[in-house]
Amino acid sequence: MPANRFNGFTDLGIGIGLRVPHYSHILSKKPTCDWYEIISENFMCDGGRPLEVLDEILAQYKVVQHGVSMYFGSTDPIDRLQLRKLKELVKRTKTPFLSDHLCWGSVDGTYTHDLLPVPYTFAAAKNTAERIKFVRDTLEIPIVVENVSSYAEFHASEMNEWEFLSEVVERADCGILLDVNNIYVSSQNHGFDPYDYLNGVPFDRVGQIHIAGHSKFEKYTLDTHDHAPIPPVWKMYAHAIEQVGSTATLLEWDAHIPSFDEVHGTALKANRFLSQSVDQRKTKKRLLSTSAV
Amino acid sequence: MKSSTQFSIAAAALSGLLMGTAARAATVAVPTTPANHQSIQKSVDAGQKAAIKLADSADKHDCAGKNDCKGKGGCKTGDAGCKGKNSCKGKGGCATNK
Amino acid sequence: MKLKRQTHAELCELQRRTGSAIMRRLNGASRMQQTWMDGRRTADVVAEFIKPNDRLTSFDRIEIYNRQYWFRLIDCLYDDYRGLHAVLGQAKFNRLTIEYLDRYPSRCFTLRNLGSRIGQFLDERPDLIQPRAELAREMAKFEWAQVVAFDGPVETPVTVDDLLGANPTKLRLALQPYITLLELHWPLDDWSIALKNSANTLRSEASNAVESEAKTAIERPKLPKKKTVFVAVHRYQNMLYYKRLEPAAFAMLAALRDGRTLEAAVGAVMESNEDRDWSAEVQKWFANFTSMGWFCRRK
Repeated sequence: MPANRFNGFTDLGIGIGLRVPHYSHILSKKPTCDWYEIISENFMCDGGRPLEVLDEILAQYKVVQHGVSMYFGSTDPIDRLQLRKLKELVKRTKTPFLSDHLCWGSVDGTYTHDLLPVPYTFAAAKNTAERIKFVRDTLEIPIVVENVSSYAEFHASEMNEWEFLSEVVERADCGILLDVNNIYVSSQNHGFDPYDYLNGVPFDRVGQIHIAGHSKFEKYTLDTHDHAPIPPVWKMYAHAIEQVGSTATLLEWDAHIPSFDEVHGTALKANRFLSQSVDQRKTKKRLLSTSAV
Repeated sequence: MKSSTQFSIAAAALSGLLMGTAARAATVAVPTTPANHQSIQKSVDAGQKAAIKLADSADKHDCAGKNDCKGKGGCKTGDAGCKGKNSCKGKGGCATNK
Repeated sequence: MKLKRQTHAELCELQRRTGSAIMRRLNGASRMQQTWMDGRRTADVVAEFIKPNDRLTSFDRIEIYNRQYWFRLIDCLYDDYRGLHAVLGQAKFNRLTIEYLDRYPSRCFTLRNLGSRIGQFLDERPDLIQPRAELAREMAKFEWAQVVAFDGPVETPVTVDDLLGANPTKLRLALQPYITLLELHWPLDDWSIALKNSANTLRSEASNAVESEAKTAIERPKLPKKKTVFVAVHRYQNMLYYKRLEPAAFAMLAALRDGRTLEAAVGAVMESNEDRDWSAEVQKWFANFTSMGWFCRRK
């Protein structure tokens, strides 16, 4: 399932998040990297250095846009200026698809700038799906929504998170950016089995996968993106790839960012699982054709 | 008298405008080589270069959880060594985690 | 028994209540306040809508978001206003950012604009920046000008065709929107560079970021002595620059920015010294400013 209608029929491979500390290395050394993910909001400006860097990157690499402020789960009206700026950026980057989070973050026009968990209710699913459809139709680009790490749950919830995710993406007919680390973090904070979540995801809608590191505190786990993914997250990633197939994968590293080579090298560890998945599929296909004979 | 002087200075301003515009057009038209890039830079007095625009050294937006705050002035112990983000660089120290 | 499903109105209300808890000020120890707005225990209020788990109460769980909200936004202001932080010191800067965010919470999707009203806020609340109110206000203006210069919009610069045959008595030009002209009573351009250089040196020497922040606070350069300077904060080839201007050039650019004709702007130059022959100087200024693309057509 690498290329599907949710990721614009792309098969991108392994990418990393484009971050300021790596700009000079990337621009001067032009290292090999399948693709970069940019945080849209960091480039939704009117001019200057950010757009200059972006244009140089675009001339050399494939870029996919990832947003942090569309807040599909908010009940506020969608900001038209934001949408216009996002559309301008989409035209600039020619991103094959666009991702943002399954969360809310603004209320009555005030922004928290955080990725807040939605109460898992049918009303929230309907509201979220309608907003996803509106954004997709306005931007004219496929959308994948990402499950977030969360630290709190609402009494009002009427289903679990993966049921809610399925409800939203079915209603919106959109894709999923499956963040394996976020599932792990939330499973630690809410006490569910992360494999129940993984197995409950509609795999045919997964257009991209995220992996990242997190931090464990005494009583909760936080999605800090400040080091490499831990072995249990890689194990979950392997399981996800087994189910979904080889899928565009991205490593997020946002704090205490090491060298480009270290970040990229860590991301490339995903290749192990991706190639295994390709081998398994070939074997499966061969066995099926043999049994048919 | 003042008016004619003013007009002549305005004419000088206009000629300066034309000179600068033409020079700028030439730099756009001619492909930049290291040699002519240097000579163009020498002919322009842009002032002092800011050491580093701090916004250029960090991304404003990311999707990581935040448990500390550099604006609070650094971390005290008891906050998981500031490993995650449970303090604030703008506030002068982080409170102890529960 | 079938559970009653949430309505859209209830969803809106739930987000409102959660938002209130998350964006509420922290207490002095950077923790969530124990008492709700109406005098009830916050723990009781949040327990109505947030589930506890086996390790954390409802209060503990929402507090993670409450702290995260303030830490993220204070850090964002700190990044844009490090000079103001240095002028005020840690405690005053901290109080200022909290009061500011309480008065002007973010109403925009991008954090880029979070500090856009700091200048206005300092005019409204001089009590927060005493005894260095004037210096703090200028520093805030100077630092916001850098945000604008860094990624503000650019208009197409004037071309030779726009200028050929132009009549100076009628010609009105606009300054690029990314340029800010500032009359400063302290040489904040030099001081900012010294401040940033010292921070960068310390950062590269420090073994980790936490240490470097602490050292920066101790070893930053002394506050500048008073001296009036005229500065254009701008970008050239997408790099940030501070350009010192002669008072006459500053007055002329300000006049053009404010919509006066080229001839009237030149009049502003002459006002500073009527006896001097300004022609060669003015021609040089314009050639330099224009070669950097500073002027665009007035809309």
